[in-house]
Amino acid sequence: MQITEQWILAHAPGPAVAEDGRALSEAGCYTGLRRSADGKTCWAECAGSARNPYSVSIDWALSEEEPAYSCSCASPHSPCKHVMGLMYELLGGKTFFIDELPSYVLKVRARHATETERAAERLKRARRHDAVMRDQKLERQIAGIEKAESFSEELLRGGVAALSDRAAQTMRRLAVELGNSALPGARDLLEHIALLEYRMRQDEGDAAQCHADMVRDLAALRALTAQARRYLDEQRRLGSYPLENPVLYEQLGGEWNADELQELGSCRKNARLVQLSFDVTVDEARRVNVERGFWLDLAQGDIVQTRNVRSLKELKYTTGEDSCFDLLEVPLLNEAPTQPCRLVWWDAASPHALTEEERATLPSFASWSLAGVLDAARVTLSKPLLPGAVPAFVRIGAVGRVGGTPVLEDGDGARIVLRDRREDGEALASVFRLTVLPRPPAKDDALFGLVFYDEEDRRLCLHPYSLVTAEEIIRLQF
Amino acid sequence: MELDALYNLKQRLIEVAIAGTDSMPKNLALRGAVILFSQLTEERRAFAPLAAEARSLLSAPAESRSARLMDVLGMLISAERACAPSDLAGALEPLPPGVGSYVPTAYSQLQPLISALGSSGSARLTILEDAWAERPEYVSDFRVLPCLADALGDPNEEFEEFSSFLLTKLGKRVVPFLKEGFDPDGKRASARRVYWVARLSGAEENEWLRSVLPESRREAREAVIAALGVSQDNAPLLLELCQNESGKCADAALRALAHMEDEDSRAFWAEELERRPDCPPCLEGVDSPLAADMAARALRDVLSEALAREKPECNQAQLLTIAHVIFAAYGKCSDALREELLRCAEQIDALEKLRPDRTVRHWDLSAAEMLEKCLLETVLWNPCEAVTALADELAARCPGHFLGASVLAEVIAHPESAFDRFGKLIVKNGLLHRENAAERANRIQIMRALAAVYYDSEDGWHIPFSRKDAITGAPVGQVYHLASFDPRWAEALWNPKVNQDGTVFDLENPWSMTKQMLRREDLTPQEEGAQPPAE
Repeated sequence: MQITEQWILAHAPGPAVAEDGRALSEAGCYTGLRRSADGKTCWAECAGSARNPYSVSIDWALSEEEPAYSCSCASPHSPCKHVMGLMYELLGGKTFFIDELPSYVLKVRARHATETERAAERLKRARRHDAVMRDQKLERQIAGIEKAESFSEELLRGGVAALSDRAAQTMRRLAVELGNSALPGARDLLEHIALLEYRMRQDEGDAAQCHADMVRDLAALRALTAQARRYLDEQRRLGSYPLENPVLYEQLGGEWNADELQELGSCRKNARLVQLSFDVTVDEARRVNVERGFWLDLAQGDIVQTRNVRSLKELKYTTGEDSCFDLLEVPLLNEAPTQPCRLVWWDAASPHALTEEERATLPSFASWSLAGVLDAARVTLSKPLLPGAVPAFVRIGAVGRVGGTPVLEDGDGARIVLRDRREDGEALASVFRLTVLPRPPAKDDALFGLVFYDEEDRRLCLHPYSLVTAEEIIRLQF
Repeated sequence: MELDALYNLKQRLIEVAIAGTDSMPKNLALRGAVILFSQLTEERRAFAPLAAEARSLLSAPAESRSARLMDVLGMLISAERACAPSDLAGALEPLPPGVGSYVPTAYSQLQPLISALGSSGSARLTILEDAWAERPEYVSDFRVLPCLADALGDPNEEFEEFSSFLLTKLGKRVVPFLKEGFDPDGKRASARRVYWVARLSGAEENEWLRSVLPESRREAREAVIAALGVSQDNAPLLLELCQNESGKCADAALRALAHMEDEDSRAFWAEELERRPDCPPCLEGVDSPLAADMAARALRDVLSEALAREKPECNQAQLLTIAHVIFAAYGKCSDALREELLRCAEQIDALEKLRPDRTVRHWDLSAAEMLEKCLLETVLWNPCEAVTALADELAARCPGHFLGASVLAEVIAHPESAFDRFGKLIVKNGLLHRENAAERANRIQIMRALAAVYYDSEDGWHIPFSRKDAITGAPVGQVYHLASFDPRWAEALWNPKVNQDGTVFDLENPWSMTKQMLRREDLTPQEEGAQPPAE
């Protein structure tokens, strides 16, 4: 084997151990330098503090990259200084005579082989276990889907208007069951329907609107169960869970793992993030607090999203996220392939205040033309499993009112109505704030917001979240 | 529109889902919608597969009907969104500059304030006060202002009072938020919004007030009508409302009319005074010339009638009538009212006899004493030259009743020199006051005036008082801050513990002036051996 100083130092547990080994070699402590006929094993005896010399060996027979070390000393290091010294003996070109393998080397080999076998066996067992768990999960999911479909069928047969308090309670129990069956998407839809029913009973909502929303939720549930069933049947057949369909992956309880994503290349290096908007809402159906940030990556020019979800019960005991006014330099940004906006997170970032030059460039990242933005939005909004709002960052040609309705017009004259999204609630209402700014939005500013489909007006609208000028980001949320 | 058939079919499917799929075979509207949609595919071939699905839905067996219904509905929703328009035709009017302010503040800093404004509980007032004291820019941020506007309807008076104080400090920048959240069918919260819009912007928002009037109901309507008093242009409208409205809204219209200066409004008010003796409360807080003249007229009529009675003692109803008219005169000043008060001064002895009879409980003031109080309050509400001159004139004629008002006017205008002018009226020999009846009356008048003055470490020397609001007639707290207060008043007025005229003060805390002094002064010097009342 080719031994070099670098190789020795790379395999040393620490520089001190390597140095001790070198000292032993230079002191001539080694006797009986021997090697096997194939040169893959070498051994010797090293005089030490004990009465008898230590028996030391290095064996490349089991693995050429990672040799097996052995020494009869009591040192906890592996390799110990005696083994390091033997390496230096090899490096020094000393003569190792060929001999039969001694018994202690054979014992080490046998022990090593046994350990390797055991490790392989453990891995095999773990994989079998994972496979069993996956199969069980898959079966639970399929069973859950069947229950959801059956419930939906029964509900629609009698009509949503006939949803009784008792049926709503059954639905809540089913929602819990679906959550336990790794079907969070279906669970959330049923929870939302239950919430609408509760609001109607408390006279808090318009009945016609609530019924229509329930029906839309049921249509989404149908789309989810149909797609999920096809997906799960295919997985049952193939026996694997690829991340091909990130939307379904999340809806079926998949959790994004940074290591897996990095293996897939789903990460970016040296991202430079500026937060455009931050908001906090309470999802009453899921009983969670959602902290959401929209960020502009100056390095790549796209919009990404952060999302922190905390259960309402744990709010007092956990720290939430907050608005960020600095530019964050992120060496490694994990990104989940969610749509329409990638979900990101990071372990470390360096903040620094935005310079004037950096601020001045922010509007330039916005799209000049509404047409392209809206075409992409239509495609996303037409997919039932995707969120009902699409982030958009648009350069302003003009902002004004048409017959009292606030409107954004781009440089080409294309327009979109500015409106608060009903589903986001009063907490995120922001159009009015835009209209009372001391300095109205001007040409060449940029507007960040979410494009959504207004059911009542039957048109695409933009819910504004931030006004980005060359001087500052005016947050209509937080 | 070409997509109407799609919208129509989607709506029909939603209706089926709401009513139940069992009813689908008999649903003729659904069939019609499917046919219409199928016709649409002639122009839009992309919808052909969807139309085929819709047609097959009509003949789907019962066990698969629900799932097929949801499938078709899902496809229609997707198609609707894929074809959604965004444009809006019409002239684009630029946005005018607004009045809101933006402060780059993190959610964690604003959230406690927003949460306090939107929740209940005793700690939130502290949060609000601390925020105002330490970071006032948070309170004026346009993300907080809507919450502040919402807090106007808060049932906790103290909290609402502080919110109102903040609105006063924030001024007009909060007006757009008050208007934005206004509910024409609302109750107290909406009424308070209107009040603040009128108070902060006055006639500038007259157009908005008139625009929301037609839809307004209940308390909101009452508030809008009362607020119309901000503009003289509303006189004809108010005259109409006075005749057409009823109950509180009619009173609100009358109150708003009292702000007007035209002859028609004056004539109407004069008629109302004749017709409705109970309408003087509508004048409370309104300091216009019309209101002052009407108050003078009402005062003359009521006192003349009372003095013409055989028995000067008044029962409850008679007393209330007199009281309401005198209350209506608070804060007002006009030639007619001046004449009337001077006339009252000439008849002060007769007015002193207009007292409650035995049937009246919890009231012991005579008409003269009520007038005395009226002049004191007028000096507080409206310390202008005319009122000060009137107070001096009445004090000269009837010092025993009106000297206090003159003293108070001087203390407010010139606290440093008030003692030089009035201090000599206090007779004091050594530690004791040795006065005759007139001198004693002067001292009591001076003490009554100075009883309005307070001191504390936070506000220093100040005069807090409550006046009626010009728009709503509701009580509103105000404060005069005095630059100084002459210490010679203390030496002149205070006596050591226990003396014969019963004035007992704690020398260790000579500035603890309260209205308790008046009760002690009720003891006459002639009652030898009389014990002073307990502390």
